[in-house]
Amino acid sequence: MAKCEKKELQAWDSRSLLGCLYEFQRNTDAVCTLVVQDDAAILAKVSTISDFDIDTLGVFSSMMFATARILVRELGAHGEVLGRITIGTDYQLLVMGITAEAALVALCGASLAIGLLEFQARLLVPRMVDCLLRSTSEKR
Amino acid sequence: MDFQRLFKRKEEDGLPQFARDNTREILNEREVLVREGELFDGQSPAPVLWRKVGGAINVKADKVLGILEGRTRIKAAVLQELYPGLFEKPPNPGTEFTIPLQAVVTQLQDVFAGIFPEEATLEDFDTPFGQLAREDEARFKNGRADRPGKILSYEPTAISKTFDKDNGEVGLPITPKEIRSDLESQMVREEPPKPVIEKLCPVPESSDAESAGAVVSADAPNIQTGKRRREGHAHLQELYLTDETIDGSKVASLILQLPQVAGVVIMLSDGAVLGGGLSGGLSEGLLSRAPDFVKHLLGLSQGIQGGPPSFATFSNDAFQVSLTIGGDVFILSSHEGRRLPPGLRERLVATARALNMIYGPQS
Repeated sequence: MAKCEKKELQAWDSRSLLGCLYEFQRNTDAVCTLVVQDDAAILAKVSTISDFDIDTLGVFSSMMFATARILVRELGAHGEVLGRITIGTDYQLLVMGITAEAALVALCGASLAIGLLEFQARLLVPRMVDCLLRSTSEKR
Repeated sequence: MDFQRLFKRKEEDGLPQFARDNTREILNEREVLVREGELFDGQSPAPVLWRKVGGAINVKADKVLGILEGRTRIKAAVLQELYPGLFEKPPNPGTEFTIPLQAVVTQLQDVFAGIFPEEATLEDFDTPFGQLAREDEARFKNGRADRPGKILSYEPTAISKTFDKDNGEVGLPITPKEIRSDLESQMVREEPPKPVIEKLCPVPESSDAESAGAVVSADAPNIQTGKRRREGHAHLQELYLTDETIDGSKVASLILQLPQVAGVVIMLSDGAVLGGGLSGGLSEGLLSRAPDFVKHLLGLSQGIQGGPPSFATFSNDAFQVSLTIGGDVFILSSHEGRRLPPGLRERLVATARALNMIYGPQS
């Protein structure tokens, strides 16, 4: 019974996380948004382009996030990981660490200022952290 | 006190003696042509008989006073001496007529080019005002290019150049300094800069709809999407009498405050949860089956007149569950009691429809 409840809670968290991504996408008109882990796992993903290879983007972003975390450790630095990449003239990519293991990834059009994108991401971070922390603590 | 005399002395003292002598010698050899309309008595034309001298007179440049001070004038007595028939009646001895500086200087340009060594050294003493003056002078020389009609014809080229080059880091347009400064100066003189929003979301003008069509068609979905979302947002604010920014999570908490509502979850057709929580008998099992249930329900009701269903209730002895369908958005709520309060159904349906305007498919 307890095992069943745990699974249900995981499913609920997953739905909630997906809802957060929809919310973020609505606020920013992002092409696609993901929550990735540093082990290349994609926890949630939402895309507006059906034929876009979102998994490749997820793996790439995850590697980037993991590398940044290794750097943070090597440098003895503290704080969050935040990456911004301008892709060509039309797109920009934001990778923002939301917990120690997970990061929010957003691919957006260049018309939205990166600062605004970051601001919208920060608005949703508390809700995402709520969804993510439970699964993280269960893993531990 | 004779102020004019005082000033005159000061000006003369300020000018180097050898320079004055050199200039006088050179000017003595040159003549200046003064045409009809270039001789003034104060603000009005000088009372001279131009037709008697053929519409123009030649005077020695050294007879023209105040060249170096920039106040070019000539004594009436000098003119009468040179051209006795120029005046109808003899002018007063002290009368001076002014000549436009431009008329004199343009004829003596070669004289002024590098006369004084002091001036030559001062040329290197550049100031921002001097630069501006030179730019203005250059623009004045190309006066025809600065006229409004001309600007409008090449302005789009300048703008397209500006936006063709992008900053690699933030995607902002950068331009060579010359192009930008030219563009700015033209824009300031011609018309005030348009708001940036027009560039981001161009709106077609009624008179120019066809030419704007190509651009607008690319941005039209965004405009429509934004409008639809705003409408949905406004509907929700009206329904719940609030001015606050509303999202799925906030709406769920507002629904929970309605009478006899024990639990609520707002979700999308793919199972994503926008707001609410597992409470009041709502469970993950119920949520996971809701999308399939709606699909079957819509298939079942295809042949029913009046359109697709928007509200369904399930009740048992313990509690009642309602499912509100608004396009892509579902509201699953549990209720206390066997009957729903009046108006709750309508409100839930309106809420689901408004949420669909915000979160639903935007195409």
